[in-house]
Formats: sequence, C-alpha cells, structure tokens
Amino acid sequence: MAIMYALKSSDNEIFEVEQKVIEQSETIKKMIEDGAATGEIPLQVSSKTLAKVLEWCKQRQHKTVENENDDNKGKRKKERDEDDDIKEWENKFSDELKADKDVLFDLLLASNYLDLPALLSFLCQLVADMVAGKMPEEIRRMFNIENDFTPEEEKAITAEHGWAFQP
Amino acid sequence: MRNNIHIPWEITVDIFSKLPVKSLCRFKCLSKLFLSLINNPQFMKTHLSQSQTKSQKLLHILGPKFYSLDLESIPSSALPHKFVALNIDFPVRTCIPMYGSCNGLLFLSIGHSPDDESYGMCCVYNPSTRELKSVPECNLVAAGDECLLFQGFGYDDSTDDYKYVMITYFRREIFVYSLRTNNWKMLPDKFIGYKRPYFVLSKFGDFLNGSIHWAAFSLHILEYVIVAFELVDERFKILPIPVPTSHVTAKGYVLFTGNEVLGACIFTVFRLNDTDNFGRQPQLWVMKEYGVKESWSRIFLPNPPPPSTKLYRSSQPYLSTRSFEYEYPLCLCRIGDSDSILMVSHLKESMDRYTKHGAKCRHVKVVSVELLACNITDGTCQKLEIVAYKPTNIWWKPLEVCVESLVSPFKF
Repeated sequence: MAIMYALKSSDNEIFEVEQKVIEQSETIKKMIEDGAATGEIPLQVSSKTLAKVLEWCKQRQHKTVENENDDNKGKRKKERDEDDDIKEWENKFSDELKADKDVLFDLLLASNYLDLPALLSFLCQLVADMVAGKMPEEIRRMFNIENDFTPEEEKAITAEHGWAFQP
Repeated sequence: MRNNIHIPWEITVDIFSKLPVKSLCRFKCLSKLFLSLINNPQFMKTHLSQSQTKSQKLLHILGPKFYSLDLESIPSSALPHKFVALNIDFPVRTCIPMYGSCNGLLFLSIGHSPDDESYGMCCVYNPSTRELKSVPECNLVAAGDECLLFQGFGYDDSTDDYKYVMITYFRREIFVYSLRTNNWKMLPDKFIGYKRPYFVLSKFGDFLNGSIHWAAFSLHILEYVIVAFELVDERFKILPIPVPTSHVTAKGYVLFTGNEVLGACIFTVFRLNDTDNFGRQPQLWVMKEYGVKESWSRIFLPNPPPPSTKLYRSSQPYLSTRSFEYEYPLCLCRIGDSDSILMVSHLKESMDRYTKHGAKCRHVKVVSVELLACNITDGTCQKLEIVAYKPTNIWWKPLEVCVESLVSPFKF
C-alpha cells in the first residue's frame, strides 16, 4: 500500500498524492523528513498550478517505475517507443502552457519554490523558445525590464548588432 | 497576459542561458544589467555548456562567402531536399579555409593564396556573434619552412585559454599561439617525428578532452596510431587504434569526433585490406572511454555503405594526382532527430604554389563538394543539398561543424 500525503494549495484545496510522486520535490521531501508534514502539507501554490505540477510529477514517476521493471532484452526498442510517448506528452503539456502564459509563469515560480529542477529546466527552455524571436521591447514588457540606456547608448548597441535584428 | 510578474534573477539567467546567440545579441540593448550579463565571461561559459547539449551548426566557406546552416533545424523526414544556409557577411573578402574549431570559435586563414597581400594571416572568428580577432603573424618560423605538417585548434581548461598549434613540415618545429596572451611561442622540443617516425594522415586535428588529435602512422613501431597534443602541458602522446595495423589501408584510416550530445568520443573509420577476414566494408569504431584501448567498440552500421565507398581524409600532400576525389566523415551529429554521420565528398585539384621565401607548397583546390547524411540507426544515406552553395575557388577544408556560442575572441 502506497503512502499517501495530502497537499493543501494556497486556495485551500486538498490533493491526495503518493509519497513517491511528491518526493521528487526536494522542498516537500525535506518537509516530510523534518516531520513537519503530519497532516496536510500547506503550500504557497494555487490549486490550478499545483494540479499542473502533479501532472508533471506523475508523468515522471511513471517513467522511472517502468524503467526499473525493464529487463535488458529488447530494451532499446522499448526505450525508443517510450521516448516517443514522453515526447508526445511533453508536446501536449507545452502547448497547453503556451496557450496560457499566466499558468506558465506561475508554474515556473512553483517549480522553483518546490525545487523541481527537471521541471524548472523544461519550463526555462519553453520560455526561451517562446521569446527567442521577439524584439527587445516585447521582452522588456514581458520581464518588467526598465531600459536605463540613453537613446544614444541604445542606438550604439543596436547598431553594433544590426544583423541580429534581421529575420 | 498579467503584468508585474516578478521572475527571480537566477531563473531569468537560466532562461537567457538557453537562448540562441542571435537573440542574445539582440537583447544586449534591454538594459545595462542585461548587457553586463550577456557580456559576462561566466555567463558565456554557462551558455556554452547549454549549447553543447543541443544543436551543432554546420559552417562552411566558399571563396569570399561564408554560410552557416543549423543541422538540427533539418527534419530528417525532409531529406533529401534543398536547404537554405544563412549567408554571413564575413568582413574579409578573400579565401578563408578553416584550420580548426572549438567551442564555437573558428581558426581561419584570411589570406591563403600566396598572391594575397595578407598571405599567411590568420584570425579567430565567432560566426555566431560575428566577432573577429586578427592573429599576429608568427615571425618565429624559419625562412623556407612555412609549409605545415599538421595543425589544430583547441581549449586549455587549466588556463582558460584557446590555443592553436602548428608543426612545420621540414624542421618539425612546434609553434603555439595563445588567444589569451595573443602571442606565439616555439616549444623547446621538436615534434617527436623530426626524423620522420610519424607519417601524419590528417592535416587538421580534432579537439576533444583537452587534446587535439590526428590520424598517423608510426614508422618507428610500424603501426597506425592516434597522435594527440595535450594543450595543458603542451606535449604529444600516442593513443592506440582498435584494429591490427595489417588490416588497415592508409587511405581508409579516418579519425573524427562526436559531440557532447552523443558522447564526446573519438571515432575511427577503417577501410580494410582485401585479404583480411573482415571483408572490405568500412568499419566504424568508437573509443567509449578516452585513452582506454579496451573501450574501443565497433558500431555496426545496419546498412553499410558499399565497398566502393571511398573513405579518405587528410592533407595527402603526397598524392601525385592532379585531380582526385575523396569522401570522409566530418562528424557524428544529430541531423533532424536522428544520429547521423555527416559525410563530405570532395572533388579536388592539387597544384604547387610557392611561398614568399620560395618554398614549394602543394595547394589543393576543392572543385565540388557534396554532403551526405548517413543515419546510423537505419543506415539510410541521403544527400543534403544546400541552396546557393557554389564551391568555387575554395581551398583546404571548406567545412567545419561546431556549436554556436557566445565565446568572444576578445574576452573569455
């Protein structure tokens, strides 16, 4: 029988999760080890975001368990099929996040807070892919960056890298 | 989208370290903080390590034009089709052969023809950031000894420095250029092969694991070996090859390296003698653990190229023919979503030229270039046709594959 834990989101929703799934988060793992998690584990994450986090963790958990059960025979073929499945799942997951950027950024912050390096790295790459083709003004808006260059300074830097502004 | 999202700085840095170089050059004008981030040598290194886990770029040179193509952007299902390569506005209008590459930096000769005023001038160029640094002329080389036996470019981790090494043909003297000090020096010892105990088969070395590697034949022990130059302590060492020398034909011994994604390894391809039991199929071997002879493992190609496939690579200054054709593997890389060996097929012409001191050097001109992507999983081989690629008047090594990086020839 798997050990279950109850996670409480910031808007007081309860999520029942297997220990193995949630221990991917270093933050929660530490809370469990410290004995701080006897009842519900309160988290500073909204229910909408937490649901996404758990979706990711369950997928990862699934992958690890299957690999443990593999025997060596025919592993390569199986691995390749699994890789395809994971890729397909990740693509779907990314598409959903791209469509709702608020969820994406909340998830980014949550993965940092919960210490989920694999998810954090995945999301950073997703954001990088989304912003790679954008112009500086859009990036300033998106990341709340204040332009502290004088117009002359900005012009000089832009002119030096004129080719980078071409498609 | 909601405004006023505060993303912690370390996450922002993480996101930026995953951006393409072109985007980062464009984002230098975001603010003073971002300008100093993107120009920060530590950030350049973080970005490089991200880049090494991703795509490899194919960069090629033809006469005065310089093209770049992102190999990973090619969907493997789209082969064989035509691809448009990016034309980089290279600042110098002259022949520019590649002498080596490492971490996104290329070591180029910008005045290759003895008729050029800039004959013998070299530079270090980053095609992703378009930064170019001229390399001062090496005035330590003895007059008449300008021809090179072999050469290579690599990174010395211990001093955080990029080094170019060249060995002269006649005196076997070793010269090392340091990008950090911007100076040349001659090493006290000559190349181990002063009395010709080594016959070097590849003119341009491959950098891996702190050393530059060349395919060679030792006349001393009468065996094919890998000659490696360690950049840290600037000395040569010898690595073993996987098959007995008696099985190997000189023109069939080829060395190339894999990339970080597929495991940074040395690969060799051998075309074996007719008389052995292996048949004449080219064999592909990988050295899984660097420097360990026992770790050489053969990769069985599911659909090996026909025996007639020529596998040559090298300077071959010894070839007497005026016009010759050869085919060699450039690298093992990811093309589209499959691991492939990128094969280059050249039709070349050789001719004798004279240096300003009257020394005779054989120059080889590439008449035509063809690229093939050989998928190592299913064995299919497809032609990679690149639009606007007109190989006219190109000299040695018109192609080089490297990662894209922010590494600056001026600060690192």
